[in-house]
Amino acid sequence: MNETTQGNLSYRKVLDELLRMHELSVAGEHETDEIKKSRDAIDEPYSDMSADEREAIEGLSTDLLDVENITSEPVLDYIPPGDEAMVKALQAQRSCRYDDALKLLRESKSKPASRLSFFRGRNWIEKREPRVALLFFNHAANLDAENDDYKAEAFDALVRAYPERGQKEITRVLTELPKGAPAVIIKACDIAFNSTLRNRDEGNLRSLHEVIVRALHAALVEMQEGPKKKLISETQPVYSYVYSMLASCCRYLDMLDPAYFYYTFAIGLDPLSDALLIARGALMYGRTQVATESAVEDFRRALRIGTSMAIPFYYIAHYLLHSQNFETCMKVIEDGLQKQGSKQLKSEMLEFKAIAFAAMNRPPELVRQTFKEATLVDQTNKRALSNLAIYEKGMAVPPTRDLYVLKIDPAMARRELPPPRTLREVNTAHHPVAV
Amino acid sequence: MPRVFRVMMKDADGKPTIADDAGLGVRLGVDIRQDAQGNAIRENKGMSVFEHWKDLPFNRKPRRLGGRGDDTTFCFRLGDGPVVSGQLANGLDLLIPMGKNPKHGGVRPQQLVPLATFRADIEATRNDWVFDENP
Repeated sequence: MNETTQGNLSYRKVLDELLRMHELSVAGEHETDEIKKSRDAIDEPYSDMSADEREAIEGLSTDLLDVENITSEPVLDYIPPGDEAMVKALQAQRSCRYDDALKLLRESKSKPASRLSFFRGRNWIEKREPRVALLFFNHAANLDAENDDYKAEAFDALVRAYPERGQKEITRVLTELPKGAPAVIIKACDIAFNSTLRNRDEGNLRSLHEVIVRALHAALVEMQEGPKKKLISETQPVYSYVYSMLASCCRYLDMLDPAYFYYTFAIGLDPLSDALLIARGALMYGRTQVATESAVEDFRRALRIGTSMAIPFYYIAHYLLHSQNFETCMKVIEDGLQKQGSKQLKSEMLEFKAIAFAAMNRPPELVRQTFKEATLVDQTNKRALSNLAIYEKGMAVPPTRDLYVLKIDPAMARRELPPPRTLREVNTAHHPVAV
Repeated sequence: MPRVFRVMMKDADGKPTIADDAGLGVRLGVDIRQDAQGNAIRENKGMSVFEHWKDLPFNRKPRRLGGRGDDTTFCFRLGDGPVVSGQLANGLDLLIPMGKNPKHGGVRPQQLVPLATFRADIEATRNDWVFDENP
């Protein structure tokens, strides 16, 4: 079966009309002129759809009838595991075979209906149809009002499907603190935090980071002390995500101690996260001798985990250069240049290499060539040019840290740091929902 | 005669209502086009029929049968033969498939005839349609 997409105009038109019919049906309109108009509008594009598209649309219509007809469900003391069809549906979803997954969910006899709707929503969100996903998440949340995760998913789908309405909702959630389900608050923070990664307005950014910190604190208090306590052991990876987001915001707000504390907590919960280790290392590097040593240990741990990022190599190279451990510094740079990083970062690593060459009394041509290579990789690296000039000026003098300017640009380093994974990535990686 | 299904309103005698919309008939400009002389144009269009009522699209299948169609419409069957393109009834041809759906066919005139004749030929089949919503 080929995965149906939004690409086909006929499919799109039929989907739009089906959603309209569903909306009218929910509003109690069954035989109005508008419904008749929608029915007529479907005939032509429907006949132009492929067999897979027809099957997907027919299935969606059936699933939406569940949303219309199942308006309550009994509270179960024990939620039984999903049947074979549901298990296979989840496997299909993880293999990105969403149409197959939805078909299998239709065959499942698993209870409760809220869980089925939730999984339907998950598939539609993966199919990049948040409008449809929202209908199923809302259904799940209405049937099981106690389940905050359903509310959070509905909230996320709303933001994706209707960005303007979604922004208003985010603002509402973040201003009505401490009211609101923690999962929804965290989701609102997640979306707001990700918007900060694209935002360049420093004034707004600062206040947004402050709001996120306040909101996450409120969510944590509710999770730890509220009536519906969320044990860390049961809620992970949400806790480590919350702590890493708090740490990132505190780092931005120059709140060093809280940032360090939250990174450390997050690393404790997620010790194999290279991103967290790198972020904590970058926070501490260069502050004091002890802090730098501890930062370098974080970077080394990230390397041992097998990080794909160049930034820890950069820091270690910088540290080794300062420690005059040039041989090892060269090896680290060679490895780091193979990893992911900006041109600026790689240019500066080449600059370190040139300086190490100079320190090791390598031929001047090699030193010059490496400095030039650095400027070729990133033409905005003026520091490499001035360091080359310093080298040319005092060729006979053994280079030390006093001769070369080697200050790390904090803004550049911040850009290189990996942001915390989005909540969706965290959830997808851990598949936290039990069947 | 090929066995085909169509969803239509029902008259008191249990037979389909003669009507262009949701009945036994064709919608001008939608199901059939007319030339300047008033003839029904024979092309890849016609009165929609399906291999089985289960093959009806969701927008036409009545709600009681799991669709989103009008519940005041009913499924009728015509004929009992294999579903292939060719003669359906007097003056009428079955074209199947009509469009991309292999189970969707169209009833069209066998040849160029006045629209009124085409409509009369369709209406003449009224008594041959039987209500059938068996699974």
